[in-house]
Amino acid sequence: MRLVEAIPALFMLVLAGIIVFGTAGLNHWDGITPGARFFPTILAIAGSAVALVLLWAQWRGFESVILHFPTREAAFRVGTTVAALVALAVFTPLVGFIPALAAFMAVMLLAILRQRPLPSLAATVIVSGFVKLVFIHWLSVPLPMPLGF
Amino acid sequence: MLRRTFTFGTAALCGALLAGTAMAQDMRAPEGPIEFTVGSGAGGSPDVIMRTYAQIMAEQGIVPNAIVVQNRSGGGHSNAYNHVLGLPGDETTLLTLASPVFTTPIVQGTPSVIDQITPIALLAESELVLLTTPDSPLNSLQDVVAAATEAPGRVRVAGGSSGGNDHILTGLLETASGTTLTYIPHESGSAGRATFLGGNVELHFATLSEALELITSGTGKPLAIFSEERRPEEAFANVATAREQGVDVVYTQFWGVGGPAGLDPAVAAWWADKFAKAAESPQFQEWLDANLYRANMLTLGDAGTYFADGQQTFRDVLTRIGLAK
Amino acid sequence: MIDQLLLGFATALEPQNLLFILLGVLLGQIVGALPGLGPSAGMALLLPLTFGLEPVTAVMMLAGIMYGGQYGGTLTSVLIAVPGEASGVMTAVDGNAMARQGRAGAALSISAIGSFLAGIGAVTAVALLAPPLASFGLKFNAPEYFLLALLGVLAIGSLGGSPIKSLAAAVLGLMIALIGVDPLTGTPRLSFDQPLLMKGIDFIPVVIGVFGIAEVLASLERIESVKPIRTRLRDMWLTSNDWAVCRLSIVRGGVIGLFVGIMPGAGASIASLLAYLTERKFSRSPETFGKGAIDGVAAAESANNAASHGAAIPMLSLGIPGSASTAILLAALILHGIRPGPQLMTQESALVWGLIASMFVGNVFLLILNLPLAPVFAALLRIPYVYLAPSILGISLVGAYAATLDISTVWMSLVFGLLGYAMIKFGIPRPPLVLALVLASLMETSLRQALLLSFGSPMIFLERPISALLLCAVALAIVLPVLTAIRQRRFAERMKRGAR
Repeated sequence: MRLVEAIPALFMLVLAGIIVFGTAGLNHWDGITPGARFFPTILAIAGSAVALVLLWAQWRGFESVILHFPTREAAFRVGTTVAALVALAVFTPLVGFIPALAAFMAVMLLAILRQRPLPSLAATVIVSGFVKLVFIHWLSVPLPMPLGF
Repeated sequence: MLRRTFTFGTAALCGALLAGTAMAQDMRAPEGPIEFTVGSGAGGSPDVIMRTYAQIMAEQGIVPNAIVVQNRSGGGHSNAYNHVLGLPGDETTLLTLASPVFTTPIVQGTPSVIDQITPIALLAESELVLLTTPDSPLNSLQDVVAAATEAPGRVRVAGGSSGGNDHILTGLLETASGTTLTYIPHESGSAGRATFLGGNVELHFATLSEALELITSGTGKPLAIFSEERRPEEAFANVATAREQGVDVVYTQFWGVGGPAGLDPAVAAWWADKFAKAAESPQFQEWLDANLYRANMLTLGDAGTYFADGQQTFRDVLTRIGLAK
Repeated sequence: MIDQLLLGFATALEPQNLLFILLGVLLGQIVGALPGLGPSAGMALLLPLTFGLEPVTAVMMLAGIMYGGQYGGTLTSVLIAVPGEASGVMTAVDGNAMARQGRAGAALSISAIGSFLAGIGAVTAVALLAPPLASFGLKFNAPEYFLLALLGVLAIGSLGGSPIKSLAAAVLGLMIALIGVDPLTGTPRLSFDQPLLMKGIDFIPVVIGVFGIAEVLASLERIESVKPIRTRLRDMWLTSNDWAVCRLSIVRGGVIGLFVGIMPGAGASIASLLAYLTERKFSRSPETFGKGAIDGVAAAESANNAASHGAAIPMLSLGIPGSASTAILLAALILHGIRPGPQLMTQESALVWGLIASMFVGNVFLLILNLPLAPVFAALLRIPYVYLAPSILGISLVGAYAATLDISTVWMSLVFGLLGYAMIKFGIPRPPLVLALVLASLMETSLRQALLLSFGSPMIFLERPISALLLCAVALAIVLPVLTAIRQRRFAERMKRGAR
């Protein structure tokens, strides 16, 4: 068992700790019924128990994780995609959903996935047009449009 | 609670006076499409009220702008009021005021919403009726008080949500009669009604229109109405007010509308005028009658006083039942 | 009653009403197929379209959007594994696995047929038995709901390959649901004074992140090798073998869906989960569940459509909405000045029977629409994945925003996308997390409500007959897997010793 395989169990233990610490001011019992802290405590206990069993099972070899680390190229692709998603969320309130979405599509297809320009632009136009037509015109969802489109 | 009843008389007087000043005051129409922000999901009472107003305003040509009712539900209406509080001075967004707008900040310990927004109008009120199961030995509010005095906490109320109107009313009832009841909160008013109809509890509070259905179908037995006077409808004529039964509680549920902080008074006055016009339309009156709601059109400053009183009641009761932070 | 139903059909078959039923199911199908938007969100968005219509026409159209949305949600679940509502999670697992095996057309067809048959069955029950079924539904309350939810969470543990990892994912889902405010009292809990957290964590960003975004990120790693799914025409349709496997699944799924649907507090999500788990017990090939079991898809989809029709029973005979969608239907009645309540069926019988008849008609429309189109929709998967990937990401995030009108939902989706990606990497199954998240608040609130009802006595779970039965089921669900595990280990050890 490698250390990295223990991450899910450790994550659960940390969460259980946060729950215990974060609900410190609340009551376990509120008159005749469980209070606001009752379920969190049960879950913290259950979470720790499951995490410990998982650790034990992994250590004894009952549970194994075959971790497929992405190749460098693949990791780069996933990383840049996440960055592009974050940029989409950041720019949406500033420039509006449609322009941000169009830019996202174009960057994804041209720069990150390295597709040919013409089909990429076509896909960009189709998806942005679809969203504009369906969400804005038809369902009249107030998507952010600070620039007016 | 008494304070609220006092304002009725004064409000009527001030209303007449202020209506005069409102006329004299500049009115300016907002430009562009309007959003009525509603904190409940589609189908909640505040949503239905705003959609009715929006529909009447559009159909009767009272408001030329396009109006969209937008449900920003979740977080005890905080999604909705935070959206509107985030748009100070904005002329095209109005916030629907329902009890969670008042109670959520009190329960969560965040700044009051009602103190920040620009009050525009009180839109509708609804009286509440206390019901019990048809075969219950309880036959009046005194019976309830007696039962709850004998065995404190043994009388159960199936309620809408914690801090909701029926929870507040339960609290007021407890204070006025010196008893303890067990209030069981649910995810929604109708979930509470399911618990009541399933015969799991003794008591349930309902608005008049809900109560009318339960009474006429024989699935609920009315014990008291929490208004100043009895209702004239046949089904309610024999339902005594709480006061008549020696418990001094008068409480009405209400819905209102307000604008963002710093809204131009001329725009606020314009909206107050439009809401009042819509409320006067026969279409709206018919709708009010069908739902047994009451119109008590207060606008601007009067509405503000009314809302502030409501907030005080909420804060007092929530503090007493230990929910206020 | 037959007279009334015939009268209802006469209303529903009027040309104008027929047109609006068709329009409703079409719109529902389209909105339901958008990621993040399920039937109730679709109804809320399209509610203004019904203004100005006659009340009966308006509810017919809205109801059409409701069950049309169920059919539409199947599309996104099967094709891109992003369910529109919690009731589609099982379909997103097995239906999408089928799509990857080139059998998207079959998955969509069996869903349409199952939904149709279960829907028609449920509407028949609405027409014939609404009042008795409604009073049966009322027998379920907090104690029963708690045990149902507990049963669901325990069963989730057996969903994936490894029970420990499935349980870990389920506990994680329950933990996420704690964030926000205490569901019973509204006091802030684990929100660390952040307004963003105080709103609680909604189902939509979690499902879009954990299913949609995470899946795309994982596929992007090996984008060179992801070939468009080649579907052969003969794989598009159901085989006679498929039909033989699924016939009874549809019946079982439909019956479970109907019964869960009539309980005012449980929804289509519990219905489809229970139907799926039951089906695995009955299936001749339980090992395929989670890897593209057509009978699993049939049961889950039949159940959620039956439940969404079954929810009409408490709505029409008691005025109590059993789901977010029926709450909007009731609101439409109120908007038209009709008071819903126990007397609706007698006082507004023309409207009620018209609505019931329209559900028969609408389901026929949907079947006619979906069967021939299943292969067409399935052909969408022929688009090269490189082009699908960014489109799925973009449209999912727009859907997430549209569902709440709040940019923080988009951020939330991204965070859960990363969590889901990590779960894929570590081999932790994702469906348990999403299902547990949905069951969490029902579980917590109903336990506390039950103890309020009984003044703190846990005996309430034994004193109520249905609750006592469910308690036995919970006990079995806990004891059986443990016994089996012990027996298997003993067996394995004996084998080992024997080998030595």
